[in-house]
Amino acid sequence: MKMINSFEIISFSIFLVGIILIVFLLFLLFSSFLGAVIADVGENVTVISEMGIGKSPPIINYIDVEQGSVTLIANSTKVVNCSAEIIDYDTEIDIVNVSAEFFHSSSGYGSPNDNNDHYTNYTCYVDLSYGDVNTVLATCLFDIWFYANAGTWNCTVNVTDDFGFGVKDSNTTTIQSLLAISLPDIINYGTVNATYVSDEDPVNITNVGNVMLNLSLSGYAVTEGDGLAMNCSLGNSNISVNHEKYNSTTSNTSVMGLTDFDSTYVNLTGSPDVKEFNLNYRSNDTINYATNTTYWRIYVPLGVGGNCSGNIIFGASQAEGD
Amino acid sequence: MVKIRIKMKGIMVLVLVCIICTYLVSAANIGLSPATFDYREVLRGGYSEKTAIISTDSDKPITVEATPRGAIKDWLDFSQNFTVSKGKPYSLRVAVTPPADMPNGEYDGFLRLMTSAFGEGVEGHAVGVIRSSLDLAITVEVTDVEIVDCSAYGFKVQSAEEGDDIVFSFDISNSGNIRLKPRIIIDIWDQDQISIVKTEEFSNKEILPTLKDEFVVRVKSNDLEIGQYWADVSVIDCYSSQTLTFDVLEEGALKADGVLTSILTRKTAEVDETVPIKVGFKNTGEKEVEAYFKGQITFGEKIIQILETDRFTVLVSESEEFNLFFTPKQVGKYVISGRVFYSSKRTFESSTVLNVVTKKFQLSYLVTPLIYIVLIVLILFLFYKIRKEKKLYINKLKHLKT
Repeated sequence: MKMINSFEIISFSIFLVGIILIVFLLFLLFSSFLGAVIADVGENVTVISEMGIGKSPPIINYIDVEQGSVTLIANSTKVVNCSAEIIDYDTEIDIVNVSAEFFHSSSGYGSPNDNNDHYTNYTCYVDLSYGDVNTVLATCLFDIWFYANAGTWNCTVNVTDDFGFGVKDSNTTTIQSLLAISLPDIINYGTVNATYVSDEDPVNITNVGNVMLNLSLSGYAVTEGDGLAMNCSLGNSNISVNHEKYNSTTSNTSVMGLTDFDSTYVNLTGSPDVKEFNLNYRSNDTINYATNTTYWRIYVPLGVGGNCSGNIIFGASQAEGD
Repeated sequence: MVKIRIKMKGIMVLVLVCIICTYLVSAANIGLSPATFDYREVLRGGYSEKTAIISTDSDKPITVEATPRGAIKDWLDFSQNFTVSKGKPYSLRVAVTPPADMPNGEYDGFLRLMTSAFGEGVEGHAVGVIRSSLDLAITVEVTDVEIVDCSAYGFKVQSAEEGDDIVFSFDISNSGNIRLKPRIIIDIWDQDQISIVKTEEFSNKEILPTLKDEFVVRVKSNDLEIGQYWADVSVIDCYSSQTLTFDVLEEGALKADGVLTSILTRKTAEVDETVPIKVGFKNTGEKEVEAYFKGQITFGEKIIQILETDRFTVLVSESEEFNLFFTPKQVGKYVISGRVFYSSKRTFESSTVLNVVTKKFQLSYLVTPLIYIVLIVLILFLFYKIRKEKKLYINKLKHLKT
């Protein structure tokens, strides 16, 4: 009797522990289904599904840079608009900052600013009223100088949102070559007596474009090719084109006779005479070295008087190999 | 009094000196962009056109005279005289037409752009008045190979009131070297895009090589009932086409219009992961609309899930976002597509792709099989233990009996 009792107690204990363990394991196994809702066909069931949707980074939909072509303005700046349509599906007000870099193919993103090849706009204008609540239009303006390198330029737009997401995208455009020249209005030799050579008058020629240029010089009094430098109001009325001369390299300010004048200076001609001037465009943002000086004098022959005036044509053409 | 007079004189002299100095240093800047024109693959007797911009910083208008030089001077067509001033650059159009009997090859020349005089003579002085000229270098490559190349873009259509013409417009760019008379076909479909209700063909406008031009075609709406239609506009020669939608409206009716702006979801997801789908809709019409999204998720050829949202009222110029969820069960590429339906109309269908990948291995995935194994082992152990105890008990009973 005693033996039976002990066996029953042991068996029962094992059975109990086993059942508890099985129940515990079954609980562990099906615990994920405890919230399940069961319903018959046709019954309405409301299931509460919860999900946290993380922040999404902004998307740069497109970038346009002046529709692919930029034409610069002589001796001035041109406003180039690099505009980007940006979508932030969280909400557009999440966009903290839009910046952009505009650079020539010889430069790169993150390079230092240089008017020849690299510009930065640290805070582009963001138009929140554009599109829907998720879409903005960022306008990144750059004042591009006349001496910016011609060729392919890249506009890289960088968008950051308040969650710390940073997104970059880019598009390219072409800056066209600009052949441009800056000249004074007149060469004023002052009052010159007959049979005298005038004082030297320097004329600065500045390259205000973005290509190296050569120069051609010619002169006429009234009509092109008339062979005259000036037409005067008194006396014989004319000064031959050969009597107006220039030196494109050296200055000589001393008083000069006709012989020295002929040997030191080059005759102006009636038809354009192209000189290998090779005047390069500006490459320094602080000092402009893109200027060359030519030196001019005129000889007034006997029998000419009154007011004398003529025309000098400075012709610019793009230098070979530029 | 005398002191004041002296001061006044001094100021006047200073002003005079300033004026003279300004006059002497004044300079005019003139620029030409681009500096060269390169006409490629121009057909003999053909046509090609380019545009240059002439700019200056002079407030006073400067007259510019253009003169052609070189072998190509007789082939060029351009404006010979024009004026340019600060803020008013001039667009100089230069067209080239090589003679029909010109041999193939490259020909050079230039267009000299000469300014009027910047200054004028000074009384009693010998003065050289400066004029500047800029040479626009031109190269023309003549060929006898005909090239047909064009593109059509910027397709638009306007909804029309009953009886008015439906106006289609688009731009065509002829980038080949022969003149084109593009063939345009417009197929008008019913709202369900099941059958073509009308077809019109046009081919009456010519476009020269290298030019862009706007084309406008009108289709009569007399035989179309009030409602929404779809139109396939095809420019056959340019291999370009686009589907547009328009309405035939009652006279004086406000137009309902809307755009499905986006269907957004994650690029990738894992199997059994619930992903959100956001559908954007913008009311671009003239009245508020009740809108809902209806679409589907397909996996290969099979439709996996039908999507439909509640109806929302969307005010004029406002946007609405429809939110949906999807839990993929298989690895692969799912296409989520659909339209927004509003005011008996529907938007263009839009779609996005969701790539589903296998779940990454996690230790927690082992828990379930482990529990099963432990359960089985435990049951077997219990079974064994009970049998063993039973055996012991029987043996002890036998022992007691003997």
